[in-house]
Amino acid sequence: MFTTFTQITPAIHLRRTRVLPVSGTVMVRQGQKVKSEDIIAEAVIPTHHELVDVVRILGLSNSKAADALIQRRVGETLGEGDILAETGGIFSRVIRTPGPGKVISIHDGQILIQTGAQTLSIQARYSGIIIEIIPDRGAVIETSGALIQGAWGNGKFAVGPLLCKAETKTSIISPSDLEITARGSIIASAVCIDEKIFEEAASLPVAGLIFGVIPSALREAAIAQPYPILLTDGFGRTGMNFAALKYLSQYNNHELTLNAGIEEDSLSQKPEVIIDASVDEQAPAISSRVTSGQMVRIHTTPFLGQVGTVEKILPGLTTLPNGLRVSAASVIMVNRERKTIPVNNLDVIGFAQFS
Amino acid sequence: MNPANQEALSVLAIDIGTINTHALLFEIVDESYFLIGAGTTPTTTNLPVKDVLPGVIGAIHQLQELTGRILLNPKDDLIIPSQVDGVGIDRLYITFSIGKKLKLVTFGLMDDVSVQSVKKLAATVPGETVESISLNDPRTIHQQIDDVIRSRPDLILFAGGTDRGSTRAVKKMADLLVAILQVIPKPQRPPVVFCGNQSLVKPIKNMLEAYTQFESTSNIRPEMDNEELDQASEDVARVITTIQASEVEGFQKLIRLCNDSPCPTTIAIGRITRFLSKVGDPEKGVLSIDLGASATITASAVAGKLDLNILPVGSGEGLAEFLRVMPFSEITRWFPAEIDLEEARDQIWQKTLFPASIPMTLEALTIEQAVYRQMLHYIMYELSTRGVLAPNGYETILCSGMALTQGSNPNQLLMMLLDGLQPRGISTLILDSHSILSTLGAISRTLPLLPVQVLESSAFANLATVVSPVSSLRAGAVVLRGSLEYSNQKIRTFEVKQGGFTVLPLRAGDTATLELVLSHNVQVESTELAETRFKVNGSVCGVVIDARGRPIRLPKKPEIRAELFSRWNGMLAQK
Repeated sequence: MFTTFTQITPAIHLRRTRVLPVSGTVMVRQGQKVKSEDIIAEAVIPTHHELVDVVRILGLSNSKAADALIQRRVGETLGEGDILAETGGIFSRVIRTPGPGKVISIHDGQILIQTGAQTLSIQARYSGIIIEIIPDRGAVIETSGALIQGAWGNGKFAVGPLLCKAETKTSIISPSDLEITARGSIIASAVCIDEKIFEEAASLPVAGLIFGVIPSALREAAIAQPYPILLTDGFGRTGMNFAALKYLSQYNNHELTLNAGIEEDSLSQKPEVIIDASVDEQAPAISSRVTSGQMVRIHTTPFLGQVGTVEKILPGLTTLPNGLRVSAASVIMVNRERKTIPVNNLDVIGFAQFS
Repeated sequence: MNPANQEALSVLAIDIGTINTHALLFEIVDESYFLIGAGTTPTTTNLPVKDVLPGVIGAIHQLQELTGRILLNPKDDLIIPSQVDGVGIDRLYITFSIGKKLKLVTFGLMDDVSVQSVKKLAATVPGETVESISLNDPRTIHQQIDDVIRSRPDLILFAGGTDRGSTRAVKKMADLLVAILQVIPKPQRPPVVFCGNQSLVKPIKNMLEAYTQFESTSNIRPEMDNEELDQASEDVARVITTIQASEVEGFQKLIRLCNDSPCPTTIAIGRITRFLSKVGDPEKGVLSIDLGASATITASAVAGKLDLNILPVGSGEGLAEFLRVMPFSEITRWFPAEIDLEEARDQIWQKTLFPASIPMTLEALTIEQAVYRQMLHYIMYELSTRGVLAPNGYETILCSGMALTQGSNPNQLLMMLLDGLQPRGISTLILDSHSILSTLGAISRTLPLLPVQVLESSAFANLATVVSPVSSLRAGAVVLRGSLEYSNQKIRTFEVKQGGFTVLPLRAGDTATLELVLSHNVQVESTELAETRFKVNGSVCGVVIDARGRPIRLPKKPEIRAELFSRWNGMLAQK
């Protein structure tokens, strides 16, 4: 049976696709090394247009008459005050461009001029090597590091050194964790229950925050912060899942890429942390089907954030204490207790290569 | 697509939702179609699988296990047509609500005519209207051009002109559309569906098809006072299917096996609801509510006239939108006293991150169902403000989606639906526990016999027949007296008091005659009851008279509210 999937892995090779939402120019080449701030692709997006109705302005009878008077061609660049159309003769009447720009179309006696544009660029965000060019849109970057996918992010992005303050999976961050040496770091702890931490982190400032959980009452405040905040497990007060905590502790002080945003149109992409570390093993790709022996994370109360191993998928439907009948699995928790958990409440922990 | 001339002894229907994929097998048993079984697995369009097929195959595998039928060969290919030994299927139908949320731009002429109609058409499409252009638009032409381009539309709906009406204004609008299309880079130009003056289809096509894919459908406003959305909805659905099929991996492969174009769930639910309204009481209608993960589809139909709406609230992705528009206190008013509000808030927001998750404890289920109560309440309010609700209530209310069909017991589920929907008049509440409603709508176009026969079977669960008297009488006053005469001539008399429930047992499959004598100033429908005796069908919870009034008013103090909930639950459980 399929279920949702969360990637929490030791250092491995990873691919990330960076593309423009519209066609543009790719600025990198295959095999090129890139840093997180390098531009991968750029596009010029028209933002302002003017439609000049030559027939109406010159009081002509039809568009054919206008076509004869229009002095510009499609694609032509216009400077300030350039003439678009002119009647000629002693008392010539003239139409000038409303501003510098480019003629997009001439249709039915109307001239469409692009008078403004902005450049949209996509940064690499991940340091690595370009392994594939996506024509007119962007590229695929191969990077490496330990990967921790999050459950929620506030939409921001940063790169910085990791400072793990979580000693246990229930450690609550306190103001003393935000001492001056933490400036510019990405600080990780299991739980944050106080909105003041966000304000103090902003004034320090930190590069970002990683928590297992925060109460949902802090959600709006987290969104409002100028730096990225990522939650590995979601909303609550229970703590951080053991698998994520293990890597955050292991790679303390390593450089970290914190992407607490989800790209538009990328269905189900999760916020993520990539910790810079040398690859010492290639985690095997696994399926998102739940099977015996798989490590799973439970994302729903009363076991939110707990990790266990699937003992077996229970046959048919299981009746829960609340009367609901669902597909369920028997899960051996870290403390060796056996629990019956709906399959829908499990995230398989592992790694699948996709870009 | 597969030819439809194959005799349809066995029919497989696949419903691909945002969260789950259902595989449903229908077969002819004793000359009638029956639902044989249903398999469900999580949909696999998201990462890491990112292909619709593994989920579909998984659901069919589960169906095979449950029914013992063989539908797939060892390579996991569907066996079509069925073989002499009963292996395989004869027809395949697909409904879907997957795919990206489409951005729609509407073009129309007059605000209260074609603009209004094209917005209603857009509301039947799974997407969001991001821009709307009309003749009365206060923005300058270049602002309109810039705003449409900035919105990056996936589809443009272009209405305007009655069939013997305006041509000049429509052409002017088409000129604007041409200008916009020229600015958008060719690969990103959205298709345009023209649903206006039919005499202009050819000239508008000539103007637009050089720039983008052009489709035309019937005029949604053929006359000033006549709105016809049905055909346009169906045609727009086909365009949407093409867009989504190109975006979702594996979808094209499925389409090749289908006997009819895959149908968006919205359109399919609209079709079946309209059909049911034609066979029922012409004065009263049918209301279908499909509460999905990302959106809720509502279809209200009276005597074949359909109002189809998609509301952006749901049990998963749509829950975040619901929490954005709904104060938390409106949800917590449905909580029993002992629930910790902060923990409840965390649980609800967590559900937005993991939409398929299932409440494990009774308290968690209570919290989730409080959300659905308020969500249903909001949906009914929205429909009311759009003028969609039938004034005399609905003869049938069909509830679909796991959120509305899964409960710890039938009474508890009924209480949630009554609190949320607060139906008026006399209604039968029906549960679509197997998620077959949209499927029947999809099949109805080319195999109309199947939905008719399946609807007559036990595929749907008849939850309760509900009578909802409304009065301004004080709590405890008698609002009506009545009797229920069973088919064995036994008669049960009863008296209903304001503020509570009366439950009359009537088993599913049985029928009885209900007689009501209303007290002064008590109404059951908005007009006087045409009859006082009704034939009622049995159901899981029987005949339920909900005399709590409309709207249901809850005490502000949590402990008094909790006591009231407990009393209501007790009354509903009493038979």
